[in-house]
Amino acid sequence: MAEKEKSYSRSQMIGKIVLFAVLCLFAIILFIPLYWMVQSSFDAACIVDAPFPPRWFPKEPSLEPYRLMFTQLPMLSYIKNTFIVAIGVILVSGTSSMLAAYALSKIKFKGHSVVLMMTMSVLMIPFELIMIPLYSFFSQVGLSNSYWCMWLPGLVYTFGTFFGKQYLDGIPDALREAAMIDGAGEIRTFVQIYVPLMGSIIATIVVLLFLGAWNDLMWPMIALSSRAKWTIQIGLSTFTTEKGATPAPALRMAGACVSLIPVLILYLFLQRFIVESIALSGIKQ
Amino acid sequence: MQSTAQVKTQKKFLGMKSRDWIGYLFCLPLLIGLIFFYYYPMIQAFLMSFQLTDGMGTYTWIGIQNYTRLFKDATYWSAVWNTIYMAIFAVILNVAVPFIFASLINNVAWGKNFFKSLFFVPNVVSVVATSMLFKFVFYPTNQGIVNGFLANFGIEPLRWFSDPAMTRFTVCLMGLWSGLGYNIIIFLAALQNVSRELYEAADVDGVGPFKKWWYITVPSVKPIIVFLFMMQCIGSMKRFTDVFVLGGTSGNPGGKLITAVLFIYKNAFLGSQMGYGCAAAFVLFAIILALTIFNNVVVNRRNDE
Repeated sequence: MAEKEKSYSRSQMIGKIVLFAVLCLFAIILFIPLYWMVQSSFDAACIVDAPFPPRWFPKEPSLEPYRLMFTQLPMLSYIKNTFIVAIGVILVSGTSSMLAAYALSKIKFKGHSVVLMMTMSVLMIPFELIMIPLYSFFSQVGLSNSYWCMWLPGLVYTFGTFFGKQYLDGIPDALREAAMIDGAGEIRTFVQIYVPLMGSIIATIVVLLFLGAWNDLMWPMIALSSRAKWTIQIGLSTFTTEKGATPAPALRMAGACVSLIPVLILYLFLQRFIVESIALSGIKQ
Repeated sequence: MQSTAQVKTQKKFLGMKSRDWIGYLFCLPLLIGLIFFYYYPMIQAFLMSFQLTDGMGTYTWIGIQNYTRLFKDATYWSAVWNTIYMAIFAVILNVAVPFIFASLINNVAWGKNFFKSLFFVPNVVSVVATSMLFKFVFYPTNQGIVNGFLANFGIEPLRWFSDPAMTRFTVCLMGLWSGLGYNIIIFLAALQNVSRELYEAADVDGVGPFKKWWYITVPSVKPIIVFLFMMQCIGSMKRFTDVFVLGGTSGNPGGKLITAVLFIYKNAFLGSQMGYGCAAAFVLFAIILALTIFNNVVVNRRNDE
C-alpha cells in the first residue's frame, strides 16, 4: 500500500514538472520576438542591412541606432506630445467619470437610472461610426489638429463611470449622511470623504487611460495633421508606411523599444490594477 | 426613510429638489460629452450618409445614392469579407488557445501568478510596434525568425505576410500573440470560481484529469467562453491598426488586408468622401448590431434551457 502511494505521488511529481516545463517553454517562445527586438535595436550592423539571418546577439553592439533615431526623427517631440495627450485624457476622463459615478451611486438624483442607461448605451456605438462627423465637427469649430480632439471626447468614459459607481456602491452611504449633518456640501463630501477611499479604482482608471492613450493610433492619426503634434504611435507607424523614407531596421526596433519603456514600467509597478480590471470586466458582464 | 441631510435640502426649483440639481451638476461633464461627442455625431453620421459631402461645409442631399453605390462596390464587400474571414480565425484562436493555457496555468504547481504576468506582457506592446516587429518575425524567406526555425524541420519557407492567401491568417496569429495574456486573465478569474466540490467528487470516483477538465471545467466556464466569443467578434469587426501598419492603405498584398474600417478611413479621410464613408460605417454598425443581437439571443436561449 505504502509502495503504491509512493509511486502515485512520484508520477504526480513528474506531471507537475512536465507542466511547469511546458509553460516555461511557451513563455520563452512568446518572449523571443521581444528579445529579438531589443537585441537588434543595439546592433549597428542592422543600420544598413536587415538583421538576417536571425541571431541571438548583436553583431556589432552599439548605441548608434538610438543616437540616429533621436537625431533623425523628432522622437522626443513625439514622446512629449503623447504625454500631453495622455495626461489630459486622464484628467478629463478621470474627473468626469468619478464625478458622475459619485452622483449615480450616492446622490441618487431624480433620473439617475436614465443617465446610467444613457452612458451604458454608448457601448453600442462603435467609435468608427462617429469618427467622421467628429472630425468634421472639430474642423468646423477650428479645433482640428489640436489636442482638444483627444481630450474632449474623453468626457465620456463608460468603463470609469460604471466601475466607479460599482465601487462606490460598496462604500456605505452613512459616511455621506454624517458629513452632511456636519455641514459639508456635496463637493466637499466627495472630495474629502470619498475620493481618499477610492484609491484603487482611481489607480486602475489612470493606468488603463494611460495605456489606451499611449497605444492609440487611429484617432490621433486622423485628428493631428501636423508632424509637430504627432504622438508616438503615429511617428512609429510612418516608419513603415511612408513611401520613400526607409529607416533602417535597427532604428525601427529602437523606436519600438523606446515606445515600450513607459508602458512596461507602468505594467511592472502597477500590474495588480491592470490584472484586476481585466478580471473584473470579464466577470461583471 | 429620509435622513436629516435630505430634509435639510428640501427647497424646490423647477420641480426638482436641490439634491437633484446637484446630481445633474456632478453629471454635467459626462452629459455634455454624451450629447456633443456621441449622440450629436451619431445623428450627424446618419444625415451625412445621405449626402455628398467633404465634411467641411459643402453638403448635397443625394438620398440613398451612397447606399446603392456601396452595395454595388466590390471593394467594400471584399473588405467586409476580409474582415469576417479574419474575425473567424481570430475568434477561434483567441478563445480556444487562451482557455487551454489558462487551464494549464491554473493547475501548475509553482509560479501561477508569474506565468499570468509573463503571458500578459505582449499585450502592453502597442499594435503598431507589434506589427513592425512581426514583419521581421514572419519574414518571407528562410532568413526570417519563424521560417528559419521551421527550416530545421525541413519545412519550406512560408510567405506569411506576403502571400495573399495566407496574410490574413498571419495577422490573426500575430493577434494571438498580443491578445493571449488578456484572455488568460479572464479565464483564470473564471476558473477560480469553479466549485472545488465537483473536482473532489470526481477525485473520489477516480476520474482522470482530462475527463475532469472536459466534463467539469469546460461546462463551468461556458458563460465566459460565450462572452469572450462575443467580445472578440465585435473587436475583430473593427480591425484597423494592424492591417494599416502591415499593408498600408492599399491592403497589400493583393488588397487582402483591406478591412471594413480601413475602407471607411480611406474613403472618408483620404478620398474626402465623408458621406460615402458614413454610409459604409452605418452598414458596419448594422453588421455589429446584428452580431450582438444574434449572440444575445443564443445566450438567452442557452440560459433558458
